[in-house]
Parts: sequence; C-alpha cells; structure tokens
Amino acid sequence: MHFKIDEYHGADGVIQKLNPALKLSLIIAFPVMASAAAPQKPERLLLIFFFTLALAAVSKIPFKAFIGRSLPAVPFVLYAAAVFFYGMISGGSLFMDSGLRPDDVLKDSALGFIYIDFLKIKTYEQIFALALMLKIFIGLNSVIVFSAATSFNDLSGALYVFKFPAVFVRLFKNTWRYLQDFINELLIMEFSSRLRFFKPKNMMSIKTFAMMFSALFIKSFDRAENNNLAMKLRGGGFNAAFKEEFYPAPALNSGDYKFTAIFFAFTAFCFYI
Amino acid sequence: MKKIIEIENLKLSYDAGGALIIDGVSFEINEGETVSIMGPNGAGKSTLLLAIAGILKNYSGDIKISGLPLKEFDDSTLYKKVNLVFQNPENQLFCDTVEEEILFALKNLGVSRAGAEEKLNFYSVSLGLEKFMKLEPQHLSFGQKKRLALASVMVIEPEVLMLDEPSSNLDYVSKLKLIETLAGYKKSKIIVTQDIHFALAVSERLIYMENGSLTYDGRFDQDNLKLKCGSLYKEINDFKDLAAARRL
Repeated sequence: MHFKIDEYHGADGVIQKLNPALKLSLIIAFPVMASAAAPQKPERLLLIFFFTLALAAVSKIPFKAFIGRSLPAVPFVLYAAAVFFYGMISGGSLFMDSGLRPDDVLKDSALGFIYIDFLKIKTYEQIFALALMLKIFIGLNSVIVFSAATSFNDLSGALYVFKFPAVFVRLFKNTWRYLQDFINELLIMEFSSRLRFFKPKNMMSIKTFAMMFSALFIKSFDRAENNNLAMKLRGGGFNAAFKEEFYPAPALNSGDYKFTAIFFAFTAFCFYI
Repeated sequence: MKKIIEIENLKLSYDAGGALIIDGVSFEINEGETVSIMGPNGAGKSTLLLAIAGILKNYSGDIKISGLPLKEFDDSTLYKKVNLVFQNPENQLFCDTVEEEILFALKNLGVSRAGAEEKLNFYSVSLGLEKFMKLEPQHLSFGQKKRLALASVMVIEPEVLMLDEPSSNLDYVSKLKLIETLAGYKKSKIIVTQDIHFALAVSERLIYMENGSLTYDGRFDQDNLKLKCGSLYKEINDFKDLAAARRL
C-alpha cells in the first residue's frame, strides 16, 4: 500500500538519462514557456503541446502513469472545457471582460481563423479556454515527464547543484517522506480498521478523522523518538552537523548539452513564428 | 581472556520506585564471545540491551565496558565500543536510500570515501543487499529491512554488537546468510532471541532470563539445561512433544 505520486519510472528512455539538475530546471522552464505563449497564438501552444507529447513518448513512461498523476488537474481541465463548449454551443460568454476584442485575437492568429471557420466559434473567450486547456496539459505533462523520469532522491539531490543549503534540502526531503509515510500509514489504518469490521456511518466524519489522526501522531512521535535514538547510535542525531555528501551530483554530459540546445532552438522557433 | 563487559547487580525500573524490569542481574562477557539471551516476553532482555548501550541510565549496580564504568563514556566513544540493532527495523532506518543508510555512520565517523565504499561493498554483499543500493528503505520487505538495519550497524564494527531478535521474520535462506555473517564477525556479540535453533547456531553460551532475573548462564548442554534451567528445557521439550503429537 503505497502513495505513488513520486513513483519513479526507470525505463531506458532518453529523459531518464538526462542530468537531474537539467530536469529540475526544465520542470520550471517548460510550464513558464507554455504560460508565456499568448492565447492569440494558439499555434505556438499546439507546437509546444506536440513537443511535450514527443517528450512523453521518448521517456517511455506508461500511459496509465500519466492518467494517474493527471487526476488532480481534472477539475481545471473540465472548467476550461466547459467554458470552451458552452461558448461554442450557445455563443454565450462565461468570461466577464478580458480586455481583448475578438478582432485582436483573430487578427493575430492564423490558427484562430481555422478554428473559428471550422467549429463556428463566435467569441474570443473560446480561444482563451482552448489556450487554457492546452497550457494546463502542457504544464502538467512536462512536470510529469521530467519528475517521473527522475528518482525523487536524484531530483532533490539536484538542489545541491543550485547551491540550496543542506539544511533546506534535508528538510525538503524529510518533509516529503513524512507526508508519504503519513498518507501510507493512514491508508493502512483505514484498511486495517475495515478488516476489523469498523464501519463508521461516514468515514470522513470528524470523529473518525480525529481518531485516525491522533493515532497517527502518537505513532509518528514514537517513530521519531526511535529514529533519533538510531541516529545517535550511529554518530548522528537531530543536533549533529550535516556531513558532506559522499557522492556529489553528477556533471552535465554531451547528451545534456544536446537536449538543452534542442530545447532552446525549439523555444526560439516557437516564439519566432 | 579479557573481559569486555562486566555487569554487577544491575537493577532497573522505568519509573522511580516502580516495579523492577531488571532485578539484580550479574554476568560478564569476554572479548570475541557470542552470547544468546533468551527468556519469555517481558523478561527484561531488550531492556538489558538498552541499558548496556547507555540509553537507559536510571539503573543501579555497575556496568563496565573494557573495565571502565559505562557512565564515564561519552556517546561517540561508547557507540564505537557497543552498538545495537533494534528489534523493529522501521525504527532504525531513516535515510533516503539503502546505500546512504549503510554509509550514514561511516560519514559521521569521518571515514574516507574509499574506506567507506570498501565496507559498503563488503557488508552489502554479505547481507545480500547489493541489488537494492539505490532503493528507498521503505520499499524493502521486512526481512530486507532487518538485514539493512544490521548492515547499518555492522559497518561501525563495534567491539560488542548487540542484536535484538535478529532472526525474527527472516526466511530460511536469509537466516542462514545471517548466521554466516555473524560467524564471520569475530568481535563480541550479544543476541536476544526466541529462536533456540538460531541461538544454538550462532552462540556458545546461553543466558536465560525470567521476570527480570538471570536464571541460567552456561553452555547449551542438555543435562545442564535440565538441571539449571528447567523452564527452557521444559519449553524445548513441550515443543518436541507438541510437534510429535501433531506429526510435524
């Protein structure tokens, strides 16, 4: 029973072979690039969209992993889709006033004309909704590709490359692991209580939550005490100084430089057209 | 032979004035000797290990390590002399990867990278962990976690290695591997176990505890056990009878 949001897909893909520090940079750079593409130019967004699909393909990450990790974004996508289709069918507007006029959009967008002609879109809000959907998808997809193709330890270890203080990195890693453990324990407790015929009227009731959380806090306190003891026995402990890593983060190789060059060339092309 | 641990009339309770968990225990352990401590649940076996490791300090009586009172040691010197593998490995593992878990103590001891890697390779292969080096400890099975907890302490190579129920939850092959690894560790070992076969395989001396007191200290000798440790002898024979009755 494991919480799998940071599950690593170690297939023999191109993305897996890239330097973790580069992937960490791209996790930020890709959504920023997608956000910077203005809605008046949906053809740019479509190009970036196809590029992320290509990245997903070369990462060899199973399709179901994308679906599983995309679930948190579903409400946003549905909202954007509702805006898009509501406008398409009724010609009405769910947006108040974006400040842009339909002519501005149509004038700047070759693809916009195609869409409008083909789907009989009447208002510019639908272009925004389509752009929003694409942006959400691109942002999410790129984050999934780069994070799922890198182990959490490598990804968080890359923070050292960007000179983040050791205390911060340790705190970040431990907080993430704590959250994972907490959720796993919660799932186990829920399962074990069901095995022993615990059937509250409402699993989400305050009473049930209070019972589970208090049990979890007691368990985590006990575990922390024992872990601290184990650290002390091996010369560490919460008060001990952080020791230098035996294995520093790896340097960039030729594959990383090639990928960076492709990424910049693609970005330049997208923003040139 | 040189004595590494001397315990004299050790008494310990968790609460001041409360019931004694350990009641007047005395014994000595020689350098290089392996001793098994057995006894029923709640006999005070694990508490005894915690006292020897200097974790429980509210005891009366004497605990000496290499001739010096335990209370005179600072933590880092003590833990190089005496170290402990917990019963529950979940309590002992906290690093991001198996590799880091084994290297943790070596980093803290200031061992060079080359020296640390040598030990890492040796103990990971000895305990069958070499395939899991980049995995997170939480993703290992319970038996693998037990072996990792052992490796993380064995790399320190303490003068006295104490193990609390090391063979529990291990399969047959892992148990054999553990027996082999412990046999190769030539320093003193104190092993708390409920497994008589394991105790016989790894140690030459048995200490039996009941209700916080030491009731037997000697060799694994049938006649001796029958004479001096009736309860363990009865326990072994009861199981034999039970197995026979059930045709096991």
